Amino acid sequence: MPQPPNRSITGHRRRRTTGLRVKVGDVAARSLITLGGIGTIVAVSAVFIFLVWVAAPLFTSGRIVDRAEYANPWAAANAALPLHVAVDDHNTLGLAVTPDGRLHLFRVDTGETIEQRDLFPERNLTAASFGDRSGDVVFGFDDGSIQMGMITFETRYLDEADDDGNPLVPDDVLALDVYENLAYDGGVITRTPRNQFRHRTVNVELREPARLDTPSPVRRLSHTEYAGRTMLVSYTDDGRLLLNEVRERRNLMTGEVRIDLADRELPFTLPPGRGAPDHVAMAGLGDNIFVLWNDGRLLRYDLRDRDDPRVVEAIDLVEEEGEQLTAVGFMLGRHSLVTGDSLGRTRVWFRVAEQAAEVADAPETVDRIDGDGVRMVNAHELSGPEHGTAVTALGRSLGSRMLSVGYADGTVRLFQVTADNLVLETDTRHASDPAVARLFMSPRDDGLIAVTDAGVNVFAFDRRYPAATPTSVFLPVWYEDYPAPRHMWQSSSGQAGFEPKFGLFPLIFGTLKATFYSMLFGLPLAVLAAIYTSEFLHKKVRARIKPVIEMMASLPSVVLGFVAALVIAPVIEQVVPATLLAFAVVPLAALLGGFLWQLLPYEWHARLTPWRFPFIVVAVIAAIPIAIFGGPLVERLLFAGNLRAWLNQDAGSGVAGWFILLLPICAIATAIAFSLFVNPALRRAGVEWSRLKVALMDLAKFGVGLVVTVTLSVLLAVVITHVIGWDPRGGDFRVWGMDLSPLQSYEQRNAMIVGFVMGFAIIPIIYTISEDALNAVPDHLRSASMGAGATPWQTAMRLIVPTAMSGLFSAAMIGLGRAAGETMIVLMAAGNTPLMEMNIFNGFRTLAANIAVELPEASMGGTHYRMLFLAALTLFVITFAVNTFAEVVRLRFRKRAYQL
Amino acid sequence: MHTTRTRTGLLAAVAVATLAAGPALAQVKVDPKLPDYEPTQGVAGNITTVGSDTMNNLAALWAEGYLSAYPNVRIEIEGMGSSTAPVALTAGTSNFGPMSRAMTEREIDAFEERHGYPPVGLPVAVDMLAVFVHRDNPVKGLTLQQVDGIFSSTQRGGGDNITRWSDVGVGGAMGNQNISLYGRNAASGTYGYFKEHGLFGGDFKNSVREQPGSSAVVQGVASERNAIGYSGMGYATADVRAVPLKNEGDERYYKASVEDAGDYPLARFLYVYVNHQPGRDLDPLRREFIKYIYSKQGQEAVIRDGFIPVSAYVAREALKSAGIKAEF
Repeated sequence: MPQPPNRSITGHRRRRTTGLRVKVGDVAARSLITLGGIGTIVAVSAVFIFLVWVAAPLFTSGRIVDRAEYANPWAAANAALPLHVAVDDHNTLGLAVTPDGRLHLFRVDTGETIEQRDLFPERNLTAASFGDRSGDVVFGFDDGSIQMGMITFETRYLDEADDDGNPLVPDDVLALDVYENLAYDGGVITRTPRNQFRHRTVNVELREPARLDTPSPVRRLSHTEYAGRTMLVSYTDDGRLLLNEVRERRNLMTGEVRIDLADRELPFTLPPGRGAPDHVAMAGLGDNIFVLWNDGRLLRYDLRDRDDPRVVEAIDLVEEEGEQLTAVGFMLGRHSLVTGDSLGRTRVWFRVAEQAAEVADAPETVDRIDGDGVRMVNAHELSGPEHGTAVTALGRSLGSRMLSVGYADGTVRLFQVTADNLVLETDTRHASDPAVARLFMSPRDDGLIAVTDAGVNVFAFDRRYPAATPTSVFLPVWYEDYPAPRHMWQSSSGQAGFEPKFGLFPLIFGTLKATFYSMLFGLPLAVLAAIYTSEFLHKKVRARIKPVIEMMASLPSVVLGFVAALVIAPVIEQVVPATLLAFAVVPLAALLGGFLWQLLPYEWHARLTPWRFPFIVVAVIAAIPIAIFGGPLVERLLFAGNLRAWLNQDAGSGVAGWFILLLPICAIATAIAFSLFVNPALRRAGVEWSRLKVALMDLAKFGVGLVVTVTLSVLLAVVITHVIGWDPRGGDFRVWGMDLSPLQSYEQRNAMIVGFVMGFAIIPIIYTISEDALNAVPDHLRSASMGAGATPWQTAMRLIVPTAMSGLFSAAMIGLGRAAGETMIVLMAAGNTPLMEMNIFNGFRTLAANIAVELPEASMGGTHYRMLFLAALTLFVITFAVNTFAEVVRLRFRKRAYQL
Repeated sequence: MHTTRTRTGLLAAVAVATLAAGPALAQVKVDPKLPDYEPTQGVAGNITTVGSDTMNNLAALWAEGYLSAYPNVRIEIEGMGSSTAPVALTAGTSNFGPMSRAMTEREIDAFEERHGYPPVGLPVAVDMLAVFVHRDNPVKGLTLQQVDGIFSSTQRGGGDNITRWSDVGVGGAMGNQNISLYGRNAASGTYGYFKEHGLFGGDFKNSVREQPGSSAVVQGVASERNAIGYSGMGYATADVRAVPLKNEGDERYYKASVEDAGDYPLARFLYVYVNHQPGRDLDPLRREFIKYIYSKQGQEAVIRDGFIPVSAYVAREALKSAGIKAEF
């Protein structure tokens, strides 16, 4: 019956307009919420933009900021091209040593000659060897003598005036602007920003000459300083290769220096058809000598056995007919050998262990005299401007893994060798004779000196962040000493020649591993607990349990990490078999408790129902001693009596491992099979049976299920181990450098511990949200289902859980996000080893923990610092992607739930 | 961040230090030429040191002694690893940078770029980097090549990759166990020094568990029978044993003790870096702290913390480099 329009049932007129207060409140609330929402979006975007802002410059390329050209400063003295050029670390003063034995000092910015000095007025220089920044040099002469020494830059700081106001420097120096240079008193003077003057000079300190064991001229010379001793190799005109070891020991207490000398002739005969070697080079650690001819032949000497230095490898470094080596050098640290050839290729070689199966790209050894277990591989090939333009000069960086290469057409390329990154390219400007004859880098990697026959080109450049390229960060990189390219993170060290390894993949892997194992432990527990409390527990108990579980979240994660690392990890380490057994026994005990409960007569059952929960708790607790006492038994039965030895593959076979891994899967499969095929039959037959009989049959079914599960897993385990041949303990599942085998060597701090403890962090969140989602399912659905005769279990599993699926899913995803970003627990309990193994018994390093560990040591604005921001950005992207995906899926589930 | 661990409270640090000084060091004496410290006037202000974790306790001991002479001074000590020292010193957030290794050229460059002159490094003590094993581990000694084989993935020393205790001559049940590795995090100077001299400049294995502090390394080794780790010998406890070491070719193993200090292969200086503008005088606060370090009291603290004191010669050179006149 239609109501009269303006009357309600109560007889009052219904208000058709909204009250002012409501309207104001409405507008206020709406704008507040809108503002808050926009604010959140702005805040998140700002974080994102900031991360990008800091990380993006990593991938910009270097550029030349300044250049200068001038005629060769040594040309005035009619000297040939220098053997060596060095500049001070502010690129103000340069020194050059020319083959006639003279030292030339010049201003780097203008080429103005400051001083020329004849270092050896009485002898003829025939060979020289120069160290890196330390300034150590060795000279060889035509009378078979050598002379060691130091050529170093000295710095003095001068004030403008003394305390009484008297000027300390002449007027032309006083007139300098900040950073302006002037030739002054045998060096270069510069005004610093602190209003002082920095005066750079060169100090030459030569020791007494020493005689080699021959009167013949020294033709090639190379030396290295390592661990307080100098190793020196020389090739003399009479065809001898001599090794000298100069050992200096400085007493830390008194500053006294002891010197030991030892010389030895190396076994050497000129190979037929070849003249004197074109290059003789001593490796940085003094353990190898490389003897090279320009036709590509390399002899490698192993010096590690001091009493028997010998040739261990003879190889050809060129492949093509007519190809010649045109330049030979080292990378920083003198460990990697660099060769440039007439076709324009620059190749970087180093030694790797021979038995490493992955050795690739190793040249055919012509003559393996007596192997020392390592061989040379060509790890990097840097291409020139065009095929056929010969490499004419190599200049290594004195502080990083950069290498400058000069070519016959005047091109100069700067590479970051580790990342195979072409940092920048430029060229000399001497049209008539452009070929780069010598190339040197400044100590701070900000300047290049390219010498041609016509003159000097000085380039000042900004190298940016050459060690990081998109490929080097995310793809395998071939690092020095490794037999193959790989993913690695080893970002810093207090060592000068260190090759930083910026591969983010191990950290991403660690993050995913942490998340996986945490979720493996936390997710089922939390969701099942939520289903149980919401659907099966009495309301009163539920009201108590929920806050208790939520309280778990109040534990600070640093405390959890601390407890995990120092208390839980050492304890678990002692009882690993028992812990593994507990995983099986505890759920079984709960199930068994349930079946035993069913055996109770009906009257008891009805009376004792409130005690059901404590009964199960008792059953679960009773399982723990079983696990503890059964642990050693299981260890003896499955793991040949020693779990650790078994994990190290020293004992037993892979069967036990597959058995453990397959057990839960088989259990689930059996349960599903039973509920599909056995339960309906039982149910039909059980209508006739007594209550006790049904309960007994249920128990029997449980027993049979157990037997089936165990048999099935054993069978499968045997098949996988012995028929297919896979072992779960490592080696068989390698993908992209990851080892996916889940059971390997046991480490005290491992993924299992993190999984346990991370449970404290993620279970409360997942539990609370899941529980709320389940509770939000309208009660009329429950009532309808129960009314139709469904049991509480059927109602929960077939109705409530699917309806609440969107909520359960977002609970899981929020837990996942928490696990991925968790820092302190992982930092303290996971060992922080950047491994790529899925092994549950060893550690990992996550993106978040890595940032926490390394940010204090990263100098602001440097490559490492920006890499950490890139790591943060990666973490952000991962969690953002997960959350977005979760939201999409959740909405889909929700749509389905609404349709119910 | 893990400030709770590393921003050591003064009291705690002193307590640890007293425990750590081993009996073997009892006979070490301070160079008698070093003077007693005499307080002067006009010293006040705040001192912040940021740097080495190895030297945390040492810095705390110096601070304690310095404070008893100048009660008005406030001292804050932060030890998160040597690599944090240059960063803080360059940024001007600390007065002193204790480091268990020398600064690298890069770090000096970064400092110089900002200040126009390099920082001054003062060698303040000698440390022997010990390789620790569990006290029940019977291993007699290791060569550096074996140390390299155990810790490095590159084996530049020329040894073989070593993963089991039997590979270094340990028999019995222990021999079959894999070697579990503990080390410091990359910020640590101990990490850098060990890498350069113990691993011949090679790389650490990925399986070395990086601990944020030296005591965490020792604790880790103490808790695991098959473990090995390295840290300054000042952190030795009764639960671990320092393994004697030698270079390949040496006749005998050298212990990480004072008698063998000259020959032990992993002996090193500990430094304190300071921002000293050349040609200018340091302010009294820092000047007096440095003088305290090189006094009899300061070097006694070095002994108490399990390190070896420097000689008067080293002290004189160091004071000179910081522009302080040495009166001894």
